[in-house]
This record gives sequence, structure tokens and C-alpha cells, in this order.
Amino acid sequence: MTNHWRDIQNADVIIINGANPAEAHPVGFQWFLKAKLDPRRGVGRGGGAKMIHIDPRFTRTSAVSDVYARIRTGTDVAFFGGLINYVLEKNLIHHEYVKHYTNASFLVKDGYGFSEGLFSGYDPVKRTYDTATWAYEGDAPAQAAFERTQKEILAHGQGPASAGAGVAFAKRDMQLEHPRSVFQLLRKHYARYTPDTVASITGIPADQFLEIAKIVGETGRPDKVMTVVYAVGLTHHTTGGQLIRTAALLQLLLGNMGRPGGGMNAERGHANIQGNTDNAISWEILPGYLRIPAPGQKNLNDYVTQSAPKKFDSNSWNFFGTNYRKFMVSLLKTWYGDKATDKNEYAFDFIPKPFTNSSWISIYDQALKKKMEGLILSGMTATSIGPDANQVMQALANLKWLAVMDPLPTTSSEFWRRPGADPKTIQTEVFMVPSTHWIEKDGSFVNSGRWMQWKEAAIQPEGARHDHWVLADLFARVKKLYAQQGGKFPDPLNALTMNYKDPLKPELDELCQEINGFDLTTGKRLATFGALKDDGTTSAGNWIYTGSYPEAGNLSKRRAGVQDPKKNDPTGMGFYHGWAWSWPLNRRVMYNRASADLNGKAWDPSRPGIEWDATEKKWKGDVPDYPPTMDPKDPKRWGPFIMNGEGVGRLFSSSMLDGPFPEHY
Amino acid sequence: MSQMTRRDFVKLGAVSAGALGTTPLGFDLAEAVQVKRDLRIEGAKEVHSLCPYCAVGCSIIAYTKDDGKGHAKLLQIEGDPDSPVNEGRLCPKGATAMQLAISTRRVDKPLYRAPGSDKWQEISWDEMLDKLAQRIKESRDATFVTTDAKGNTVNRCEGVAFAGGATFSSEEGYFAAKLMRTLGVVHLEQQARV
Repeated sequence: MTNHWRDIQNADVIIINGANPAEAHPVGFQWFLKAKLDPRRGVGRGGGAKMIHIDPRFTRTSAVSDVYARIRTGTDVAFFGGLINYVLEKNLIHHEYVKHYTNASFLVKDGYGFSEGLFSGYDPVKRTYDTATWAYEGDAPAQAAFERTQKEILAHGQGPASAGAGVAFAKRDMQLEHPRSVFQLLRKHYARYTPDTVASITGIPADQFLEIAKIVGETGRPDKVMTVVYAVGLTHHTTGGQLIRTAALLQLLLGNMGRPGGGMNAERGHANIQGNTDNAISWEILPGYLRIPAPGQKNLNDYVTQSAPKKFDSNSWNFFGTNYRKFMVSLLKTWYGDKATDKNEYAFDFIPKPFTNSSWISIYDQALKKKMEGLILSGMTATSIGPDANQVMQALANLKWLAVMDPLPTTSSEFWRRPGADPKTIQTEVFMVPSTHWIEKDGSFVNSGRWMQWKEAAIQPEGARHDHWVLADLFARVKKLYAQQGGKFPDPLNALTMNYKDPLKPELDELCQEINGFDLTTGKRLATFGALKDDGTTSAGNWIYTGSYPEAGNLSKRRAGVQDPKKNDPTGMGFYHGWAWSWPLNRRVMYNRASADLNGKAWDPSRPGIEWDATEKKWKGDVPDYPPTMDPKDPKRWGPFIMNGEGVGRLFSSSMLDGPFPEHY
Repeated sequence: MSQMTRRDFVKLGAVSAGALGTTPLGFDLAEAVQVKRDLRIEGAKEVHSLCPYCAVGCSIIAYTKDDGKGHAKLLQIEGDPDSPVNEGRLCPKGATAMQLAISTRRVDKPLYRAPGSDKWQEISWDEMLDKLAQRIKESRDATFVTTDAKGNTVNRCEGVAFAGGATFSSEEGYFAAKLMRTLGVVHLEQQARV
């Protein structure tokens, strides 16, 4: 979530699409109902927030919503695209926000086009796009000025060149009238999504669609805000990324991103799916959403050039791109310690480079092809999750070995003797590793709202063992086998740091500190990722968690909650900054610079995110997702979307492989 | 039952335990009060934990008592009223999370299923970890690719996969990622993908 659970009570309009929170997240749903019951919320004169439920099924969530619209599954680009068209046509967008906080004014290169369902650059043989035409038109004078400044900075020995070197800044038309401005291209693209077209694609009758559009359109006003909440109804599609992105475009046009009561809010499904997505149990990333290196990248320069976002505007901080190398080097130092130095690219080659998509389905695909020999399942039963249980069970039967780490038997651990199976024909060796329950160990879970909360162990395990102790023991034994027998490339195993009091039984507290990171010259824990360096003097297992466990202690253990709302939530916005810790740096609403206008005044003074205090010269309210003392009137001030290369919300984006604008197919 | 007026009934509420004896209600209220006061969680330790189920992240209080043999016995799980997330509320899953914690279907010993076998065998931790470590090494050695067809250094292990992670802590998940990547594993996935 860009926002968080309790924040939903701040919304005037709640769109729930592809989710059923009344049944699937009932305790989180109390905040939706609070919004509904709050007379200050809602459109027009208020009277309670309006809840709109879009779903193929009529569920308990639909039953308490103000509007329920039955949608054909997978047609959400048409639904949200229709809303985009509506708010553009009726001029209901938040003009100042769109102008200054999105890339509406950026000019796209001549050569970009969209016709007959295809974007420019399509290769019918490879069936992929060459995205070269999805680029901005370069602003040569601005670029030259920037490069001059960079040279001056370098000449004074201050910091490395920007990762954006070699990429042009974009030309902009602040009037939003140029035919190749993102704004005009967007209008043209979504002009086809008329109410009748929306009805014919989604199955939602045009008049009901217009009823919804009218409500949604009201939240383009600066003093109104809408939140979009979604779950697997939007993610469980191969086109999921674009479905969700269309809703994000709508939210940008209405000025709802970065504000309390606004945002794009995914209701995730498991206790710590967020935490372990952040820690990159995912084929294509490393902790903190760094990209996994790709074949052909020979060193860190190659890696950073190909992975880090590029700077497209002089007012773009491009925070991620600018600091990418620092985050990667700090991670490599954490894992490989003294074996990672400036002489060997900080052991960059130790990290595996996948050839192709190595995601979940590919595991079972590879097993069916007899290319996957062994699988470790941890607290997840493959047979009962995913699109094809039969395929998975066949795949498991093709493995040489399967290890199931779980407190209870599962459909995967027992697959070889399931009803109808003939165990004699299944040669898979299966290891049932009894692991401990959540309540038998400490450690943190991170909820949908990015709140990292620590739990204490309540009871001790009997026969089961902690997952991390099993893994540590296994690793030590594998390492020993390599020492005794030799084998393929044991170097990373031998280099891996295990700086724990007992390397066979690391404490979760020790791992938590490792994730936070250290100043390696002083041995002190870091208080911010801003302190990370690329010269090998800092470590951080996951930069987005740097600052969660500073020298002061483990901030995820804090409990300044609703036992004293006056003290613990002084703004009344539900931030509760002293309860646990949220990433990044305890910011509760991401992109919160966008909650205030160009002068730093809240768009809606009754629901401020951050506001500029001109006397104290700092941002107040939520923890700013922005430099805390950056003056809004400074012409060099950064744009609010600090993580991307544009510095503003991307209505048009060349980062999506199947199209810079979402399109319904 | 003897005649009781409303005034008599209201007076009962004002009298403390032990002083009553048999009352106009016809039974000893003192005893009833005493039974009600002996809470199951009397003298229990309160431990702050979290619900293991969805991603709302409700805070729970786990009540435990020493069982006399040095083990903590779990008595009850309730919502934590201090949390700004759930304010003490739990859904039916969270409210019954204790069932998960004390389930008798728990596997408490390592088990091994040999190829073609129709049953589990009990196996010691040492044996299991030794066998499994050997399998990991064999599969890694058999499927490790140092340089690809184009001559690029890739150092990847194509034949071992790890799937899971949404249900254990961030610290455990980070550790799994660290170890798996160090082994060269590329098929590293969890519930987020599905």
C-alpha cells in the first residue's frame, strides 16, 4: 500500500476492485466502515464516504457498498480507462497537481504512435516491442546546463556522476497543449473508452458506469480524496500490472496520490508477504528491489547503468537511480564482508544471473522437463496454490528430491500418497522438516501498510526447529562437503558472512540488525539509508529497512498506540509514528510531498499529509517522503515522486514492456 | 424463590463478595462471584505477538503460564487493544489462532520418504540434514552454470529451487534469500508471485 489500513478512514470515496475485504480482511475493513459512518467524509456535503465495489461476484463487501458494479473479469483497463476519459472530458482533473506533479507536460519523441491496437516499435517476429520510440523528446539546453553543473560538482570532489549520464532531459510544455505532450497523447488514447464502449467490454451498464463516474469525478477537487483498494482480483492476471496501472493513472489525474485517504492500496494476503517481497524472495530482485544482475553485465558499472532509473528532469531527485550503486555495494559488503572489495567489484560475480524468467510457474515447468532436481518448500504448499494443482503434482513426482519445511503436513508433503496416486511410480525423495510456528519465535511481520511490527516468542517448540536454524545448519553442512569433496564454485559459500554469536543458530535480532546496516568504520548501526556509501564502508542487508534498528534500538518494537491517542496521534491523521516502524524511514503515506501544493500548503487543510513550516523551515506532519528541509520555493526543489527518474507521476511510462499507456485487449 | 422487590435486587449489586451468604436469590452469591473472578488467565504472562494469517497485521496478546515443568503453556490469544491497526479486534481466524499453535496434527519429528515408498520413516535430525545437504550439493554441482553459451559469467544453479516465505518473519526470509543466492539459486520465489 502507498498508504495504510487506518488511513482508509480518511477517504471520501473508496473504490474496491477485485477484493472482498469484508470477508478477507475483516478487521482492516473496520476503517472502511468508519469512513462510511463519518459525516465529514463523502462527496457533495459529506454524509459519509461512498464505497464502490467492482467485482464479478456480489459478496458481503458488495452488500454494504453504496454502489456495486458487476464487471467481466480482466476488463479493468476499460473500466478505469473509461473513468480516465470521463474526468478528462468533463474537466474534473486536479489541474495544478497534474501540471506539476505528473509527466503530463513531458513531450514524447516524434515517432511514437498507437494504431490498430499496437504501439510503435512492434516486432512481429520476436513479438516484443522495441521501446526506443517510447522516449521523451530531449531538451538539449537543459541537459547541457545540468551537465555543466555536474562537472562543477565533480571538480569539487563531491560525489559521483549521476546515473543519468548520457540520457537527455525531457522537453516540457507546461500549457499541456503540444500534440506530443503526454497529456494530449493520454486524452487521445482514452478517448475511445466512452461509456458505451466501457459497457460493451466490462458488462457494466453505461448508466451505472456514469453513476460511478460522477462520484469519482468529485474527488478531483483538492478538498476531496479517493482511495483505490485492490487485491488478487486485479493481480491474478497476466495483464495485472496494466490493470493496476490504469487505476494509478486515474489517481494521478485526480490528485489522490501521496495524500491521506488516497493512494493505491493493495490488500496483501499473508502475514509477512510484504516483508519477504521486500527481502526479495523473488527471482528478479535483490533485497530492497534492486534488480538481479543479468548475463552480459561484467561489472557494477554495467549493472547500475542497465538497472538504475535515469534522470529525465533537472528537478528530479531520481533518488533510487542516484543511490543505486550505494545500495548494491552495501548489500554485497553485508553478504561477502572482507571478500567484497573495490578490487573485485565487491564480489558482484557471486550473485547468480538468471537467463530467463525463473518465476514460480517456471519451477514446475523445469521439473516437468527434468531440469529441476530439487525443491525446498517453506511454509507454502505448492500443490494448493497456483493455477494448476495437477501440473504441480506431476512436477513434484519428477523431482529427485523435495524438502517441505512446515509445522504441519501439507498437500505437498503428502503428494506421493494422495488418493489415486501409486507411490511405487513416484521416485521423489521427500524430507518432512518440522519447522516452528510464528508464535514460537520472535521476528517481525510487515503488514500491507508497510508497518514492520515485532513479535515476541510466546512458547517454545517441542520437536520442531526454527527455519533459520535449519537453513544455517544445512548451509554449514553443504559448505563442509565442498571443503571435503571439492565441487563447483564454492567461493561464495566460503565468503558468506555469518557474523552471529552462533552461526548455526543465528538470532532474529542479529539478522534484524544486519538488515538495518552498519557503518563498518565505527561498528555502529545506521539511522538512515542516506548514510549508505559505495566505497565499501557501509553495510545494509536491505536499504529500505535502514533506520528501523538504529543505535537507539529496534523501532519495530515500539507501542505508542491507541491507549493514548492525544499523545500518540497528535495530528489526528492516524499516523501513530511511535507504533512499530514503517518503511521508508517511518513515513506513513508515501509520496506525501504531493499532499501539498507548490507553496507547501496542504491541498486539503483538514487532512494534511505534510506541510511546509516557513518559520522553522521544515516539513511537518507525517515523516516527509522528501528532504525534510527542502524549501518549496527553491527553484531547484525536487519533484514529489522522488524514486523515479522523472520526479513526477508517470502517466506515460516506457518501463512497462507491453505499452506506455495501459490498453484493453 | 421468596418475594423480591426491585429495590432489593439493586441493593445486591452494592454488596461485596463474602458478605452475602444466601441471598433472596436463593443461592450463595459470594461463591458465584468467586468462581467468576478466577479467570483462566489469572497470573498469566502477557506476550505481544501478531496474527499469523492475513496482511492486516493485527496485534495479539498471547497469555501463557508455566506448566510446572519449565514450559510455557499457551492459554489464550486475544486482540491487543493498543494497536492502531486492529484496536483489540480479531476476525474468526485470528481469534482462533490458538488452534493453529496447539494443533495435535503437528509434525514433531523429521520424516523421510524413500523413492517409491508408500510410507514415512522417522529419521534423526542429523541424518536428515546430512542427507539433504548432500542432495543440495549434488544437484548444485550437476546443474551449476559458470559461463553461459555467450561466454558471460553467470554463476547460477539451475536445478535447485526455493519456494515460500510469506508466513515467516522478515529476518528469516532475508536469511533464506541470502543463503539461496549464495548457493546460486535463481528460482527463488514465494506466494507474492501467485
